Amino acid sequence: MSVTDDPVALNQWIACAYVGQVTPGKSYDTAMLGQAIRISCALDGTCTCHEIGDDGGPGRQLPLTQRFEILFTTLGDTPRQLPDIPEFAEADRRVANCASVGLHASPFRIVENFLDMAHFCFVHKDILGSMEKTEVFTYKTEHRKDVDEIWATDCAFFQPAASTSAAEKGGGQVTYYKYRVMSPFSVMLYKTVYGNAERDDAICLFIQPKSETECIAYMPMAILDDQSTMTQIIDFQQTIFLQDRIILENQRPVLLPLTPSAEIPTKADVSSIAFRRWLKGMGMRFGILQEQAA
Amino acid sequence: MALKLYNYTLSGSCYKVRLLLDFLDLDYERIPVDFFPGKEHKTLDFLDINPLGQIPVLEDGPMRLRDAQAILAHLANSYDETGHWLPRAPALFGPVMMWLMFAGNEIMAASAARLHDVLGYELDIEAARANAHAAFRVLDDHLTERALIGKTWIVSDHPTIADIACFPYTALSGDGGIGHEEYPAMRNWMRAFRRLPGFNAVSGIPEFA
Amino acid sequence: MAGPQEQIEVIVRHIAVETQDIRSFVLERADRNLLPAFRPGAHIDVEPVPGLIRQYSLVGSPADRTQYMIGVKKEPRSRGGSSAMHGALQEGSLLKISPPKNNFALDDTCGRCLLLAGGIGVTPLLSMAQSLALRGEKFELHYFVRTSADLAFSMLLSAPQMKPHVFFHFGLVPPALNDFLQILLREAACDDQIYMCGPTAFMESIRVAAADEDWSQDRIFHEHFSAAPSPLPLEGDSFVLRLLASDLELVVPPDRSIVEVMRDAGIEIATNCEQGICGTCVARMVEGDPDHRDMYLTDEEHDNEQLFAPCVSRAKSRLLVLDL
Repeated sequence: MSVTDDPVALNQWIACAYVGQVTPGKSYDTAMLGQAIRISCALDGTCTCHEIGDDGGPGRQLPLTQRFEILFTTLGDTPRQLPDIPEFAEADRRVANCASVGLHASPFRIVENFLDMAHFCFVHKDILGSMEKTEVFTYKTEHRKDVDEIWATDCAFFQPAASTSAAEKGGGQVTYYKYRVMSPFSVMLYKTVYGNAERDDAICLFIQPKSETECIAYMPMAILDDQSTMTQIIDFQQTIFLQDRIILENQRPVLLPLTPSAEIPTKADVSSIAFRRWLKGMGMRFGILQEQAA
Repeated sequence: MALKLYNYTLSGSCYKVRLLLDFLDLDYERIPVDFFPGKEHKTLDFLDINPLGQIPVLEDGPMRLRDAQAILAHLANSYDETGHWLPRAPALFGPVMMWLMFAGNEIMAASAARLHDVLGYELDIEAARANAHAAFRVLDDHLTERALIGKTWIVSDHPTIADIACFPYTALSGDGGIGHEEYPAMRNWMRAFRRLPGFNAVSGIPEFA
Repeated sequence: MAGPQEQIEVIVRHIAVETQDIRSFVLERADRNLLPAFRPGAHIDVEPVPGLIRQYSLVGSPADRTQYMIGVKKEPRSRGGSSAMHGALQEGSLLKISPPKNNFALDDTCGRCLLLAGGIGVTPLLSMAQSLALRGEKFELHYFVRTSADLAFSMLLSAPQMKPHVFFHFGLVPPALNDFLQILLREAACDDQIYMCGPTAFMESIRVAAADEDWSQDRIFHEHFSAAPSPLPLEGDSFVLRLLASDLELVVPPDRSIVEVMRDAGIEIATNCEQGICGTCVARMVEGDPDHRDMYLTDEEHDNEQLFAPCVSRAKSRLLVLDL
């Protein structure tokens, strides 16, 4: 494993641990973009991050910042700013740190899986989708130039048990979603709150690409559920994610192709297509399938 | 409710117990344990419940049991009127116990590989995968011999708690990077298991093995 | 197929790559018996996967009953047929076919035969040509393809008994095609017959040229390839499409897409989803009032009126000019 030379990938803030993962007084070794790194936390809770040199000793010190219950670091000198997600600062929300899950998959396949509503009724049958109502309604995708993010809005989907609190009521509902791709390695959604038309739950996915095909996914959320216990909320989120994991790890090719003709999309994939155009536009090479010349 | 299960949905060991509770159609209360990331099973409060700091734990009235295999044996002994899940005939009882121990020991290597790959546990992943493959080889050879005499299940003509105990970490091994390609008899057995009335899947169980 | 009793089980003996899109399949009877005799121009029904039936012309010589040969073009729009043939079948695969059927028979009493083939439309004409060559008849096979790379069955066509009769035409599209056809059909004798197969627009050009030269309809025979999926639900008035790079004008009727009309005229265009999602076919627009119906281009790109997705989008103006 060697570190990528792709400046686009290097100049991103990348999740490297969740808050509480590293025991004070201990350190934790992991990797990002092919570079081995070590996060060390002092007894007072302050943490630092270093590259691990070839000799196993600490190398260059890396910046470390904490947002959304996650520690972020970067290998680049001019990283793209971390996104603004105001929901995490709203006092009446519950911020759940759903920890992390490892996956043998490309970071972009994980983003696309998160964006894909069509798989709800098959992969998350009876939870996020129902075999009787599989249609993905037409939605709108846009590239918001001011923040350089991809947004998909007006997404509607019938769901039998969209969340912990909805699952307990039974019956199912049409859930409204907004998706927001905040960086090549992070995506989030805003989702109808059961019984609250005004505000949406904010559910995030930050991806730590250890290499082009191995990732750790972090799933912090800021939600308005005041009934479920935190254990129930985390359990729900992990159950969903492990259903995705088995599908994601079996996708081929593992790396993401960016040529339009490589895979045949359907109407439901408009947001993925916008994501791929966006990656192509920024010149991303890391994690991208290099096409054979025709 | 008389039966209480200290449970973590994604735990294969808790899944063993839930499978039998479902097969026997027993009502029970689930007490969720924040196994990951909370490590609630290592907290002082939980160590009062199980000093080994492990899940599952089953409470049946005043009795408190740990160890999935022990819980399976207790539930089958107490609540299965057919006697099929834990046969008492001398020719069957011993083999059921033997495979039950196998599920609690050798097959747990597949659980370790899954903890490493999914939850980032630090352990020797190559050793875990090699040990799991060795265990699967033994199980697959046994199931091949059973298939040759027309039998589907590990011990008896009916599924027993030995089948239940062996199923979760076998079926979930893909989560730890251990494929089923080399184990055709095991794949047939898993297919038959998934068709049992009352069977419920858990995240990570392949639907089309 | 009329019934299972009429099916013949065959084994795929050999698969050859004829062009980038076309493969030929040599089929032999699984039970090693001789295959039913067929007349030039005949086709068989093939069931590459259960429940999916497609018709393919027999390409080989009718004199050879030990094997059948068919040619299959991979259609980008295929909903299963050609991709099942291209993807699922391997040498040694078994599949079911019907006995040969003939809706496109060669008339025994004809004078000279003009066999006019456009692209993959050459397939039914190949068995005719081989049969005519064997009988020592006078005939000409004119084979129109876009480039030499699109030339299929060149082995068959270059056999010594075929060579004097075969004429290749590369990149000939209207209006040059029309001029050529006029000359070809003018020089023909009065008992000559035309057998043609190819894209609709190609055959229409031949019909028009033949009518101009006073050919009677009963001397013109054709076979249609109609494997096209149901048309997309397009609406709106017809408009004129001018293609700059191809130097061609085409009329796009209300019920057909630009891509379909272009293909009928023999202009190949790379597409993938044909639903306005993937962006494969996006082209530069030069002139016209576009009616954008795709979901690939952004609102900004739609407003700029420089890019255009011809698989679903149309024109509000009478004229649309694309750099294709």
